[in-house]
Amino acid sequence: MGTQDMCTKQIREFCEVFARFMMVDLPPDWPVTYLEACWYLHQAFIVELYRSIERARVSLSDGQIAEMFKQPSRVMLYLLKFGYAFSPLTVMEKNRLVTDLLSLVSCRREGDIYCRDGRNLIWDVERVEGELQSSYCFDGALRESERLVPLLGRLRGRLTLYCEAAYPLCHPACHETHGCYQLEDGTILLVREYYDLRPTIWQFMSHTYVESVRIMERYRKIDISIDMINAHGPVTLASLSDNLLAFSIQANGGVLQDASQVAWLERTIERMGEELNHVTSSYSRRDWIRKIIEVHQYQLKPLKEAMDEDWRDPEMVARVSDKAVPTEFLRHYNALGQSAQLPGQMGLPTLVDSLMREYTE
Amino acid sequence: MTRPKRLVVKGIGASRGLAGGVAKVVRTRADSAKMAQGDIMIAVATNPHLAAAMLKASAIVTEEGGILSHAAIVARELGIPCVVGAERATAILNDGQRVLVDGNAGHVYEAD
Repeated sequence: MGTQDMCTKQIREFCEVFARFMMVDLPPDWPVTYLEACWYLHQAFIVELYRSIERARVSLSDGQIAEMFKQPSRVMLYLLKFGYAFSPLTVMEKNRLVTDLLSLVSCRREGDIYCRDGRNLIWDVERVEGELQSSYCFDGALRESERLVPLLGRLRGRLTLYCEAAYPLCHPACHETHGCYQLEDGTILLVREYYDLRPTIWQFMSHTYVESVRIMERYRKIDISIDMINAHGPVTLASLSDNLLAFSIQANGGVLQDASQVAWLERTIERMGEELNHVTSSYSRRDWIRKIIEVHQYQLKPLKEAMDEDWRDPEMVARVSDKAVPTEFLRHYNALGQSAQLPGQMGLPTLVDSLMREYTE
Repeated sequence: MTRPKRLVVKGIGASRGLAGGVAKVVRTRADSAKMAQGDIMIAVATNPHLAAAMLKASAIVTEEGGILSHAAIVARELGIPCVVGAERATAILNDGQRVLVDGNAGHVYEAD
């Protein structure tokens, strides 16, 4: 099979995954619709993403570039943007961008890059063992105290809602749930990583904050499914709390040792969320669009800095956010959305073909 | 303890567990203020703008969405019961009404 055939096969496989994802669910239309956000991102971010990766590839390996995007769901999220039919990129560039991004994801994921088996495997066996040994576990305390499990739930919920506010319409860009890793004793390990929690695009007042949180949860052997961008959280028919055996929490790299430290962490996240809400409570639609663009540009910061470039582009943000989304764009993707709503799998072939055309024609 | 009297709303169980409390219909961000800790949040759908209400809720019931909807995802993270696809829940249930939410079966009961 030639290089071009391989590329086409890879893009078709991606289109099938994207189409299935569209049929299941899309992010809530808040603060603007996902579709509208995609149009703005194609004007202000996707082209720069493509050019930055191409420039970086001159001197950096895919592994090094993938490290700079921190977690694979962040990269996968760039792929799940509508609007390639209207993109300023050429067909060849679009092809290249899709295959580049898939390659970056594959550098970070040990298993299926699309997590079609319900697992998002990032750590190898040695890393899993090492992390378990170096982290204090609330296992004995879990049995003794009924207070800890609700505390863990509130912390996870608060973190999820905080991520949604700090990264509007792209919260998986600061949140990676990975696993489940099979452990030798027959139990499983689920890991939730929350990172870049204080992006510099937001002005925080307080000096006490958390930049990263890692929660490791050990469960009895139950079926837990994770999707390719952690959009739906861990999905299971079983009760997570009933099957939880132990957990550990790290904040800013330090391991929490008791319930009071967990409560401190929850209060800190709560305060950060309140500060964010205070700022955004008076936001106009245009303000939100600017933030959606900025939070994407911010994700290029490590890569841009490695190339001695500035990741900010306030003029571009101002210029693009003043524009209105073209009716033609909305009409095109709303028609595609209708295919996604057809019962069963009826719309799938149409969706796959339509998406395929966006990258190849 | 909250005891069920009669089934009033049916939907899909999206996050497991049982929780009883006082129903509060939340339509806007401002409505979050009427939620007390442990109340049952009743909404057409949720979004990140309603975070304050979700964080106080002991269970969430929404008219729209499936098991992968925003309400379902956040409820599972919080570890609280959630019923989604509960048609006309905001019309049937009233502020102050005591209810029991069964996130396993997807049922909402009027309760003592």
